[in-house]
Amino acid sequence: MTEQQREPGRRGDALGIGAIASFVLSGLAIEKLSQSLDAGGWIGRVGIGVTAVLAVSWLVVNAPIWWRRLRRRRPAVTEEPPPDELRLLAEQAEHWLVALGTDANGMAAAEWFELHEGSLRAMLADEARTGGTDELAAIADALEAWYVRRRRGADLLELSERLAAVGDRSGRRDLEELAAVRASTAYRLMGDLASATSRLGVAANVAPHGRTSAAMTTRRHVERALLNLAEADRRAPGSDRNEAVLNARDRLIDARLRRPGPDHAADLAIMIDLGIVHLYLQDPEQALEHLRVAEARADAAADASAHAHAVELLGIAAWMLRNRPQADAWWERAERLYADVDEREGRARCLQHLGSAAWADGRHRDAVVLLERSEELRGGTDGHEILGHYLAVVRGDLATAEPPAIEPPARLDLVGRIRARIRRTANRWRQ
Amino acid sequence: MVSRRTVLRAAAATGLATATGCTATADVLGLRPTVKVAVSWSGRELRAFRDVLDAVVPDDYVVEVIPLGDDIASAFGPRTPRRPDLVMLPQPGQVRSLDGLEPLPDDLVVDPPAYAEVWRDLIRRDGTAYGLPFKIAHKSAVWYRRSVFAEHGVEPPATWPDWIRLNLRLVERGVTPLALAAGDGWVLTDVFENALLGLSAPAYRRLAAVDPPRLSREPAVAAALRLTGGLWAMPGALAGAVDRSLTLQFPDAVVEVFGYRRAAMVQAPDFAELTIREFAAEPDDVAMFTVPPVSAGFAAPVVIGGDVAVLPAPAGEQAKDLIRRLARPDATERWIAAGGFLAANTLTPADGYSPELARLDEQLSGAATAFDLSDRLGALGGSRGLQRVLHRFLTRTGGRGPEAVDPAVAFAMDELRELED
Amino acid sequence: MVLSSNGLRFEVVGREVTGRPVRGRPRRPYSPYLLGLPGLALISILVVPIVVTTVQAFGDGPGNFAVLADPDALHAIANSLIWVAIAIGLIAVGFALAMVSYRIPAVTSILQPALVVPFALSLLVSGATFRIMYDPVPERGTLSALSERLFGSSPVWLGPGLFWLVLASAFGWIWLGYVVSLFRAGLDAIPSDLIRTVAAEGLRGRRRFAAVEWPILRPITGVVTLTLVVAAVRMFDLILIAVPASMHHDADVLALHWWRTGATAEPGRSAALGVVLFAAVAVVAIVGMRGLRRGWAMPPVSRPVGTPPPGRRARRIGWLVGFVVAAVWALPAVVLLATALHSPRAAGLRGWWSLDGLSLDSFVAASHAGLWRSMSSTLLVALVATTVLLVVAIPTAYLLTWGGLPPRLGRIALTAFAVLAVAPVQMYAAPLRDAFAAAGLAGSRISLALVHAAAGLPFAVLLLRSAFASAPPSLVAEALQGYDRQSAVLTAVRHTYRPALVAVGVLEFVLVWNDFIVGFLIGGPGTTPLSLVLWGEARQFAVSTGPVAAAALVSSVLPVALLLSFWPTVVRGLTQGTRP
Repeated sequence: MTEQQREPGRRGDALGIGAIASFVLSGLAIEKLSQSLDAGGWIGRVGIGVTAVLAVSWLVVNAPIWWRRLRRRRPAVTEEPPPDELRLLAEQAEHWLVALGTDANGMAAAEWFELHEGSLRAMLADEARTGGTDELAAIADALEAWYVRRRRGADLLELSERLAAVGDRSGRRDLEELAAVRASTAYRLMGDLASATSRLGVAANVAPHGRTSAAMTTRRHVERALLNLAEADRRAPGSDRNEAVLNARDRLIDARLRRPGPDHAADLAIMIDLGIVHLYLQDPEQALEHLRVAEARADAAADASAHAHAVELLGIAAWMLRNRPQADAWWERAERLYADVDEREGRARCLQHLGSAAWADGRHRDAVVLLERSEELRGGTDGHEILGHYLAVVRGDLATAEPPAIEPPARLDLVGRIRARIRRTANRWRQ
Repeated sequence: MVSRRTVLRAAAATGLATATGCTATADVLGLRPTVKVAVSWSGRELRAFRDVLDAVVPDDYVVEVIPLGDDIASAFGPRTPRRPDLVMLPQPGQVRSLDGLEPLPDDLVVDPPAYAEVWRDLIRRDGTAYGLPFKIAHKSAVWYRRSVFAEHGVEPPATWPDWIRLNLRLVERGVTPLALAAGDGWVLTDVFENALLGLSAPAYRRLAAVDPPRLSREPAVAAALRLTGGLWAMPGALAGAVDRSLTLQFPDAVVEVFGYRRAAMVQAPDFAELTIREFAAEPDDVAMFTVPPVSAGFAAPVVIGGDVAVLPAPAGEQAKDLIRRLARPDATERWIAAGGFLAANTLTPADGYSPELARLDEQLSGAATAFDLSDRLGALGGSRGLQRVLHRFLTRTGGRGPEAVDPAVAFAMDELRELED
Repeated sequence: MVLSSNGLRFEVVGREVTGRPVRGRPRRPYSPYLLGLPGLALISILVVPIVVTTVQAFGDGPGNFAVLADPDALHAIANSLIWVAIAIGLIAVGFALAMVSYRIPAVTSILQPALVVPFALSLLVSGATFRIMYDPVPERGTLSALSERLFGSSPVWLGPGLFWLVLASAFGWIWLGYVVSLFRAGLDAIPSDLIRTVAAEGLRGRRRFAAVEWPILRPITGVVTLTLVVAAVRMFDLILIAVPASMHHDADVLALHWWRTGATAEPGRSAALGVVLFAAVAVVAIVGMRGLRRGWAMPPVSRPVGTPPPGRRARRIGWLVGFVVAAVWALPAVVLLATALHSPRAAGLRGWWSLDGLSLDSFVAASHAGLWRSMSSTLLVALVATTVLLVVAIPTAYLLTWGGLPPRLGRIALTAFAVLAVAPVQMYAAPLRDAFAAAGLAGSRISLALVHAAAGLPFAVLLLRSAFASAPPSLVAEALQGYDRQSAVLTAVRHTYRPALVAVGVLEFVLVWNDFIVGFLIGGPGTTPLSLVLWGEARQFAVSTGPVAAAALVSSVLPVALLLSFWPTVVRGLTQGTRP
C-alpha cells in the first residue's frame, strides 16, 4: 500500500502518448509525401526516429517501476518490515476509514472502531517501534476521523501527541504538521481557543514542502475559519462578531482556492462551513445555495456523514426562512442519515432541533420525547447547555419561558417550496 | 493505471509488428516509393498480371495493384478516394474523353508497326498519345467441345442461320448447346454487339460516333436484338435456363461447358482460355470457332476490346518508368505463357500463343474489326443502361420460343428510348 | 456554537477535514475539461462531415429529398425495411435459444463456442461462405447437391427471390452468437436467491418468465435491438459479395443505393439519402437508449445455483436442440475450411466434401493475390485505430463519469454520443473523402485508422462510462478524494472496468480488421485492407472459390483467436454497464 503510494504512478505517460502521436503524425506525413511526386523520405525517417526515441525513453522511464513491481512480488529484504499485525491493522483501519462515512457500511465501521479503538491506540503508543511509519500514520488518520465524528477532543489531543512523536522519531515533518493541526482541532473542541490558535501557528511553521502541502494548507485554513467562528460565537452580536465571521468566510474562500485536485472531503467541508458562515450572517438564502450543492455532492459521492450534516443545516436555513414543516422534514431526514452511520452526536443534535421546534409549535409532549431521546443519546446534558435549557423548559422547570410567536412563512418561502417540489420531481424522474 | 498498461501492450504489439520483416514493414509504412496501379482484372487474370509485374518491376520502387473491377471508372472521378499512378483502362474508347491524363513519355512510340492502325485515333487527342495499348481482347470467339460436335456429326457454323440450325439439332438430340454468363452484363452486350456488327458495320460505326448515342433510332439495333433473341429464345438452348444463367458469371459459363460438360458451346473472349485450361475436364477436348457472318456475303464480325495503360496527371517518374517497362514487347511473356493473353504490341513474339489464340491473333489484323461499342456509349452502355436492358430482354425471351422475341424487342426498344431521354 | 433564529437557539458544529491528507496541487477549474479535448478533437472527424452532409442535404430546400420518390430508392428503402424485420426475427430466435440454454445449462457448453466463432468473422467472409454453400451448381453447392439428391432437382438458390435466404442465413450466422451470449449473460445475472424464491413459489413456465426473466432481459433486449437493427440498416458489403451482380438491383438496399447513385447524383441528393438513413437509425438508437435508461444495471454475475433440475425429457430435447444448432452453426466454418484445403481447380469444380484435389494450392494462390501485404496493412490500421481509440476514450469516459461536468452538459454529451454511435458511414464518407483528397491524404492508412478510431469512439465512451459508473458508490466516493486514493481504489475496482477496456479494445480491433465499408468509401478500394483483396478475388466468384476461401480463412484467424480468448470478458464488459 505505502510503497505503491510513494511510487510515481504514471511516470512519463506523456512520453508514451507522445510516441503514439508522433507515430500518427509521421505516418500521415509519409503518406502525404508518398502521394506528392518527390517523396521526401527523410521526413518519414525522422518521424519514425522520433517515435522510436520517444517509445524507448518511455520504456526506460517506466522500467524501474516495472522492476519494482516485479521485485515486490518477492519478499522485501531492504527495510525492517512492519510487523504483520501492524500492517493488518493499518489496512483494516484504512478500509474502515473509507467505510465510516458511507451509508452502506457506516454502521459496521462504527462497530469496528468501538471494538478496536484500544488496540489502535496501543499501536500508536508503542514508543520503541522504528519501522512502519506509514502504517502508524494510516491508523492515526482513521482514529482522527473517528474521534472527530464523536467529538472526543481529549482523545484527539492524545492522538495528535502520539502522532507528533511518531513524526519526530521518523523525521517526517509532514506528520508533525498534521499532528499540530489535529491538536488545534482538539483544543478547539475542548474550548481552549488560545491553545488552538497557537498550535495552528506551529503547524504553519513546520509545514514542509511536499505533495500533501496543498491539502495541509487547506486544512489549516478550514481550521482557522472554524476557530474564527468559535471566536465569533463567544462575542456578543455586533460588529466584532460580524468581523470574525467575515474572517472565517475569507479563510474558507482561501481554503477553497488552495484545495488540491479532487479533495472531496475538503470540498464538502468547505461548502458546509460556508453555509454555516452565511447562517451566522443571517443570510439563509445564500446559505441554501452552498448547502444544496454540498448535499447533492455528498449524496452523489455516498458520503452519508457529510450528507447528514448538510441536511441538518438545510433544516436550520429553512427554519430561518420560517418554513417550519420543511425544517422538520430536513431534520428528520438528517437524523436518519446520522443514524445510518451511527453518529450519535449528530443524531442528538437533530433530535434537539426537532424537540425545540416542537416546543415552539406548542407540541409539548412531542418536544419532551424528542429532547429526552437526545439526552439519552448524549448520556446526559453535561456540556450541552442548549439541550439542558430546552429540557428544563419543557419539563416546566422554567415556567417563564414562552414559546416564541412565529410569524407565517415569508413570501420568499413560496419560491423555496416550488424549488423543493421541482427537485423532488426531478429526483423521482431520475430514479 | 490500466490505461497505461493497455497502451503499453498495444505499443508493444506495434513494436513487434515493426520488428517483423524489415522490408515488408517499410513497404507498409510507405518508406519506399509506391506506384499504385488500378486494374479491372480479378482472379486468374489479376494473378497473371502480378506475375508480369514481378518480372518487370525493378527494386527501387514497389507496385501496389488496386483491383477496381467494374468500378474502374472511379479511378478518374472528381471524387476519387485514391489517385492511382497508373490505370489499366479496360475501355480504350474512353481515353479520348478522359480529362486529367498525362501524355505518354515522348520516347514511347505507339504507331505501326508496333501497334495496329486501329489504335491510332483511339488513344490520341489532338495528336498527342495518352494511352499505351497493353492487352487486346477478341470478343467474337465461341469455344466448344470438339467431342460433342464429332459425336453428333456437326461442323462449326458458317453463317448465323447455320448456328441456329446447329443449336436446334443439338437440342433435338438432347444436348444443351449454349452456356450463357448472364451474371456478367458485358457478356450480354458482347453477344449483341457481334450481331449488330455482323448485320451492319456502318450502323455500328455510326452509333459509336454520335454524341449523345441514340440506339433506339437505329433500325439495325432492333434487327440485332431479333438475331440475339433468336439465339436465346430456343427452348432448351441455355444451360440451366434463364434463372441459373442469371447467376452465372463468365468463368462459370466456361466451366459449365468444359468442366461439367452440361453445354456444348460458350461465346467467350480469348481470355477464357485461362479458365478453360484450368477447369477443362479433358484438356484436349477444346476447340474454337469465331462468330459467323449473319449470312453468306457478309463479313464475319470481329469485336475487339482491350486494356490501355494511362497515366493520370501529374505522373511520377516511377509511373513513367513502369509504363515504359510494360511497353517492352517481351514484358508480357509470363501472361502469354499462362494463356488467355493477346498482346496489343504486334512485336511481341507470337510463338507463345496456343493454336486457338494464334488464330484469333491473325483475325485481328483483318479489316472488319471494330472496338467494343458499349464502352463508347458512356452511361448508356453501362450496368444501368444497355446491360440492364439486355438482362430484361434475356428474361423475356430466354427459352420462351421464337414468338416471344418480337414483343421483347419492342419492349427493349421502348426501354432504350426511355433511357436516352 | 450557537445560532439563534426565530426565537430558538440551535447548536451548530462546523465540519473539519478528516482522513488522510490528499496529495496533489490546487485544482485548476478547467483541468477536467482538458481531458475532453482529445475526445473532442477525434470526434470532430465525425461531427464536422456529418454537419457538412446535413447542410448539403438541406442546402437548397427540401428539393433534395425528392430523390426518395424515385422508384429505385423506394425499392431500396423497402428492402432495408425487410432487413429490419429479419433482424427482429433473429432477436426472437436468439432469445428462445438463450432461454433453452439457460434452462438446460449443459447445452451452453456445446452451443457457446459454435455460436461465438462467426461473430469474429466479417460479413464479407460470412457472405462468401454462404455463397459457396448455396452455389446453384449441384456439383459445388452444398444445398443444391442436397436437394438434387433428395428431390431430384434444385431451386436456383442465388436466383431471384431466393437470394434473400442466402443473405438472411449469412446475417444470422454472424449475429446469433452475439444475441444469445448477451441474453445468456442477462439470465445468468439473475440473483440465485430470487431463483430460489421463484422455485419456492412454484412459478413455472410463462408466469415465471413474465415475473423473472422478462424484466431482467428487457434492458438487454434494448441493447441487442439497437445493435442488430443498426447493422441491418447499414447492410452493404454482405450484399455485394453474396449476391451475383445480376441480382444486385433486386437486392438493393438504402446504403447500397446511396453508393451506386453517389458517383453520378448531385452531392445534395446523395446527402439527402444519407440523412434519411441516419434519421432511421437515430430513431432506433433513441428508442433503444430509452430501454437502456430504465437501467442496464446488472448485479455481479452469479451462476444460478438454485435452478430446479429440468426433467429428463426436457433435458434430452435441450441437448438435441443444442447439438443440432451447434452442428448447423459449425457447418459453414467447416465448409470454408474444407473448400480452402482444395486446389483452386478442385474447389471451383467440386464441392467441399469431395476428396479429390486436396492441396494447399489455394493458399498459395491467395497469397499471390497480395494477401500478406494487405494483411500487414490491415494490421497497421487496426492497431493504430485501437491504440488511438483507447488513449482517447479512457479520459473522455473518465471526464463524463467522474469529471464533475455540469449534469446537463453531461447528459447532452451522452445523448450526442449515443446518436453518433449509430451514425452511418454514408453521413461522413463523402466529405471526409473530399477533405482527404484535398489534403493529399487520399488512401492514407493512418487517416483511415483515425476515422476508424473516431467512428468507434462514441460506442467506446458509452461502454467505458457505464463500466466506470458501475463501480460501487463508496469506492467512487473514495476515488473522488484524490489522486492517491484513486490509484488505490482503481486497483480495487479494476475487475469491474477491465472487462470494458478489453471489450472496447477487442471489439475495435475486430471491427477494423473486418471492416469493408469505411475503408471502401473513404480510402477507396486501393487502401487494400483485407476485405478488399477478398473483394478483388471474389469478382469471379465461383471459379475463385478456393483462393477466396483460403483468403477468408487466413484473414479470420486473428479475429477469431482474439475474440475466442477474450469472449467471456467481452460479454461481461458489454453487459456490466449501468445507465447510458
